[in-house]
Amino acid sequence: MNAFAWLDALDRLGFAAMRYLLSALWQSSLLFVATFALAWFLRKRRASVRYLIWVAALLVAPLLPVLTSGVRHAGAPQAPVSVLPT
Amino acid sequence: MPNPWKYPWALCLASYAVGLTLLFAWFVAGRLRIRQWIRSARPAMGERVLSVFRSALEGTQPASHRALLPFLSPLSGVEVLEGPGVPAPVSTGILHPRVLLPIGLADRLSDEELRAVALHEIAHLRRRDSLVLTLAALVRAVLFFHPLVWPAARQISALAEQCADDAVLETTGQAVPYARLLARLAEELPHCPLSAEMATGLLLGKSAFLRRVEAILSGRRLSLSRLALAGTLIAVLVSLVIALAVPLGEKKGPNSAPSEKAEWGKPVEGVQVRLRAMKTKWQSDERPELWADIRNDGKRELPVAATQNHCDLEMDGVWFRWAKGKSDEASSTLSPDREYDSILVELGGDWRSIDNNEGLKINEGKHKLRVAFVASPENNLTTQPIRIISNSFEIEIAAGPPPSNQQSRPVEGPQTEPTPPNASDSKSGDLEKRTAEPKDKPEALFPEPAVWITLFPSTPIRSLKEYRHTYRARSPAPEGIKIESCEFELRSGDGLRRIARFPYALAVGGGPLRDLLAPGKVFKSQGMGGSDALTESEQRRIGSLADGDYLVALIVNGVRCSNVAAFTVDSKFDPSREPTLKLFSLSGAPGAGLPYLGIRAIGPTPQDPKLTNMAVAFPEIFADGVKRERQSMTWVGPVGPLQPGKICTFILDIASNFAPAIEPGKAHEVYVKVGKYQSEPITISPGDPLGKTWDDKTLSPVASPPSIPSLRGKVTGPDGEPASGYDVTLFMAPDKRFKEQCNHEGLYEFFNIPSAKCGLSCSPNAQGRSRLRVLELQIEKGTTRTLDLDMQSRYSISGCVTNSDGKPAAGKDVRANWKSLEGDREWENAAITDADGCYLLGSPFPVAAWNSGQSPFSAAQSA
Repeated sequence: MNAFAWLDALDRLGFAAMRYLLSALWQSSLLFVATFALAWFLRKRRASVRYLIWVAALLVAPLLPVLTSGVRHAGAPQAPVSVLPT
Repeated sequence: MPNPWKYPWALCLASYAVGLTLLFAWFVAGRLRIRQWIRSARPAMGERVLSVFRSALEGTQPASHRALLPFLSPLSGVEVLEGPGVPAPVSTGILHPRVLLPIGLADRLSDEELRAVALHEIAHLRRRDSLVLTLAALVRAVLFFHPLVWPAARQISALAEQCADDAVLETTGQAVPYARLLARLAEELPHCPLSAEMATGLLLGKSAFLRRVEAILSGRRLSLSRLALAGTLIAVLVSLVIALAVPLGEKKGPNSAPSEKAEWGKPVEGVQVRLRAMKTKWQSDERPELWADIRNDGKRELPVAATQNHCDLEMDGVWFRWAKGKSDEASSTLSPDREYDSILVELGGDWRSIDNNEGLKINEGKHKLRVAFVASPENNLTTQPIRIISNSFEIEIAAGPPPSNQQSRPVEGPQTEPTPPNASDSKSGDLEKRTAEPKDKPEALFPEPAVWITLFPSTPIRSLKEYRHTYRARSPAPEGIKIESCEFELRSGDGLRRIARFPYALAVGGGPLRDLLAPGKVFKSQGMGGSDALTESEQRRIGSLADGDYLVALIVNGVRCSNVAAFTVDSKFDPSREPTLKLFSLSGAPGAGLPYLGIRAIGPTPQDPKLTNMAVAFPEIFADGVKRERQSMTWVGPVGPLQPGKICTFILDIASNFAPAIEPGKAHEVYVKVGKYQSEPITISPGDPLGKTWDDKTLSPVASPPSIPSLRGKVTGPDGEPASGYDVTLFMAPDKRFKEQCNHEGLYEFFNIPSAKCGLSCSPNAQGRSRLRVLELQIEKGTTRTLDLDMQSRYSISGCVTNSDGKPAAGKDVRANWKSLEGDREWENAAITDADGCYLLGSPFPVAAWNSGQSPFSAAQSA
């Protein structure tokens, strides 16, 4: 594989990675805004409650594109692949 | 040298990788720092310290923890360490919980203060804060570019501290002394490396301590500073704007404005095309502009040339194709879940009808339009280009001032030149008919009157081990075809030798084709002919082929149902010395009258980046010195992928897609041009290398007439059993010999041997030590001679061999040559003496005569 092929493959990988990361960026932004709001409403509750909310939000954030992709494809019409894998 | 700016996503990926690496390095540095603290620390020896921590461990677990964290198990084996360099009490460890104390701290604290410290750290350990904060640090490293992740992670750290403080206050109930303790610790706090905070998630800075003091004394909850909150909100807004302004995977065209509603066309392998326009009504003096979108909801990456120059346009049932400019544009990869939109399709320019090469004319009134794109799967050579047809989009041309002398209004573009009539363009008609009915499967690009298997060899090769062919099989019969048998036939190029014909496993996806060849199905596969079904002797024979030309074909149910593919074994073949463009011919489809044209091309190199798939797939073809204008192109085999520096084969059906047509049934001298490259001319002839096995009238296969062998016979081995696997070789001249192999019944056959006197030998195999020779044998062409060979050991000679000192000569090679009484056969045998120096040699002949009067023993004297 020469340099062009490597760069082409890297470009495709980069596209997929950037799509994932940018999806994570805007989706988790919404999540964090919601978390900020929820934490503010619960500001008089115990710290442990808000701690759990924040932990859940932060750990879910990088996985959001996967979750939303699953939701997006659920029930979507899938074209049959008429060529058998070789 | 490639220009990196042409690969923006690769640059983005590289930038992200750099940032990620730095963050992880920072994280690892922090972990190493903590490990250093642990290594330099020693267990706390003071009974006072241990008793305080023991009582804290055994103390009442806070109710809040019981309620919210029921999964926490009671701690056991907590190690309390004191060490230099530890800036403040720290709890760490996931599997092995440890509490690190600054050295001498315990001595400076009262019992109550020490108990508060112990309760705080034990609370951290009970809550598994170490694990959670480590995970948060990792998430922060992965999403380091996210402006909200940093305050979120810091918020978690602060809340973890607050939870631990709450645990202390719930147990002791003394806020002021605890706040005083924290203030004192903050006062004594040395500088703490930031990497340690990054790795543990713990807040070890003075400011964090003082905020905790303030929160405890004021009873307020910890919160982000106003500045941080304002920055966060701004970052959120910026992120949202970026996210919404750049929809990923789509290239927004100039028609972001709403256009007329249009449905997507039928999917082919998940790929769909949609044709739309800003409006449906156009004035007569306007040039209609439409837009095509392609999306890939399938699973494979499909290179597609997403320009109007590479699409077909259908108007009112007539298909047009862009006649110029295809060769200079490369395909782009259409990845799954990706979409190219707003591909401009102008109803002007050099659109030519596929049928008769006429220009596109648009009359007033309503017109139905469709477009079709071709995508070439690139994963391997077995794949076939797919053709995706869009929805039907209707436009209307309003009535305008009628032209003075004509009803039809030609659109802009060069005038159509008159072209010779193409009387035999039936295949174009077929293509037209097929494309008019979009199907949810790849277009069939080869004709098949019955079971038809198309072999695609890659030639030449350096040895048979490199030989691969791919095949496509299709049965249009309504009831399908039941495959009873399938054989692989291999012949030498001179037609004299049928090298092998053996069972072949037609298999696709692990299953036999006979169960899968249902009506209308197309199957593809690749592999060495019948490698799974080869016996050992067949493999041996295939592997011993010398340099030369060979032909292969597949025989299904006794009838040849494939084209004849040629390949060359050339042990000196060097792809790097091959010309960029080379032609060869393959026998064509039945009744086609012309062979397929194979183009071998070497993929683009840095010097020739324009040598693309599309360029080679649409070459300029010259037959008998006349350029043949392309009206439509039919590929029989796979189109590409043309990978840089690698050889790729394109197979074209040139039967009837050109004007002037290449006349079938005759020989032609053909060469092709692709850009600046021109191939050497080759002569193609309609002859069938393996003989006519197709009825040209009915286009149905005809059973091959049984071949008449020139020589046949049965070989009996020394043990009296059929000599299965024995080699039988005919010698016609020093450099001309034919070899066949006995089957499991010991039978052998030679086909198409010319009349000649020849010799014959038979031996078990290449390693055999016995050999039967027939010295003279007359072969007459057209007649079958039967010659049974009996090698059974009916007679024997035995003896012992001694050395000159009289001792037995073990392991000596004893060879004997025998001659039959008639003098027409010779027998050669050999044995190894055993430990006693004895040997036993068998012979099929009753009388032995020493060959040439020499001693039969070549290794030792006779006993």
